[in-house]
Amino acid sequence: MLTINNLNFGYKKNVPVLKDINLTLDSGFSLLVGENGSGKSTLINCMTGVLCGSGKIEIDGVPCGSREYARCVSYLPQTFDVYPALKVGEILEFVAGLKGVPKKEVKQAVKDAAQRTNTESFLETKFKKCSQGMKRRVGIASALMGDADVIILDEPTAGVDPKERRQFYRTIKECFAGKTVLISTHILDDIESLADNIIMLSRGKITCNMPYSEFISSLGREATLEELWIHYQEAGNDTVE
Amino acid sequence: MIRWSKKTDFLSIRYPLMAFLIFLCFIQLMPQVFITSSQMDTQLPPSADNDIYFWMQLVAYVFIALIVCFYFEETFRTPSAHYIGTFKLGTFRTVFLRYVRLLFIMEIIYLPFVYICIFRANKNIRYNMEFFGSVFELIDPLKPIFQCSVFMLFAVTSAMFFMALLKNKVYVIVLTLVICIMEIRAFPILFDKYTLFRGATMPRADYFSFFPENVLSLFVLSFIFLMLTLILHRFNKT
Repeated sequence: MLTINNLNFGYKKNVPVLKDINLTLDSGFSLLVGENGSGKSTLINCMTGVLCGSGKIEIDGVPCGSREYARCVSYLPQTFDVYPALKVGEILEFVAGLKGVPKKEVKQAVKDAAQRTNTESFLETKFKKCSQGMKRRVGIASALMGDADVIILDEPTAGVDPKERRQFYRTIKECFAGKTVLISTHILDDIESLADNIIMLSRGKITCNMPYSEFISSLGREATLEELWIHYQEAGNDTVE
Repeated sequence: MIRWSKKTDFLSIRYPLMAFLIFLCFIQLMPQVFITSSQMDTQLPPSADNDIYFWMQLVAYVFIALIVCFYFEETFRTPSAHYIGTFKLGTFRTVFLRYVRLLFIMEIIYLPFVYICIFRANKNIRYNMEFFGSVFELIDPLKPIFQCSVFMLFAVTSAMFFMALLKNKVYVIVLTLVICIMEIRAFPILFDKYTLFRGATMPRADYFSFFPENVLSLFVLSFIFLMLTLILHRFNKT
């Protein structure tokens, strides 16, 4: 379980980007949504330990910033393109090393991850020659390495066509079942297809954190996802001093 | 235990490394590089002049910079540096250990070629002695080998620093080419004996001491660049 207590962060003094974030992520798919500049990427950077704000971030008592915490988290950035000139298999071996997979088990771990993400036939293909959808699947395979408990995916379906997106949803549902998964997205289709829980961020504040079933009926009437999105974004704007 | 794969490092530099090896072999095919004019004057220190440092330092610098750029590209390029940063490998393992490893490999590859070059230059000096019936001082291979090892230290460290600063290998290569062009004409005028690759152009190389002025500056600059690189990597979070 990932917990965030009283997280505040700003790139400049007196210009807060994240304001008093309190969050608990349990197993299941949580979708982090919000407009551009709402602080989604900053929050993800804090959760992955790249940025350090005031407040507490922990996974089952392990504090953010430690190596142990880093081992518990698997992060897939929006643009996963480490060593694009290498072959897919070589990249996965590299990531396996970074995640501390023992040397003797690397080959098997790569094979397993490729099998689960259906990228086996691409292991000998250069990463830069893969399609956008395939690159995303390789990213998922890399996130599978090390068997982390918390998975953080930053806009994983950006730039992926609808057909590939469907395949992608199936893949991550199968691969990350039972794990704590946080997905940052702009795409309403992602919410509909994946969300167990919705976290809405507006101007650095959480304006909504509830199960998806509650979220869609939260206005007390039948509302579209667009309407709900706008409603909770405006709720954030209203509370800004 | 988390680790940065050595295999990945090798795979990332295999082509520029191969090009560098071909270049070093190619130099051996050009006899004019080793033609050495010597001067002996009881009033002055001995001196020898040839094109070895032009090829083995000035031109080699471009190849070395290329290898370093490929080696450290993913370490410093913003999106991948950000991603790799999430693994908490630390600056020591991500930069310093890999830097030491690369430097060691480059020295191992490069220095034997320097020895061969000096051996051939000495052969030319011996030929001159026979031909002119004069006495010239032979070059002690240890001195140029030491100078070239410091040059390699500078080349690797400076390229790594530029990569840490500019984060894009194209910019680093352009900057390296600019330095090489400046080295041909502007630096000798500005710095005289402190010219980075002294002997590649004017003034002539000092083959008869371990620490001529330029080697000392290369050494100091390497140390400064290394410290700056480690600081840049340590504090560059986004």
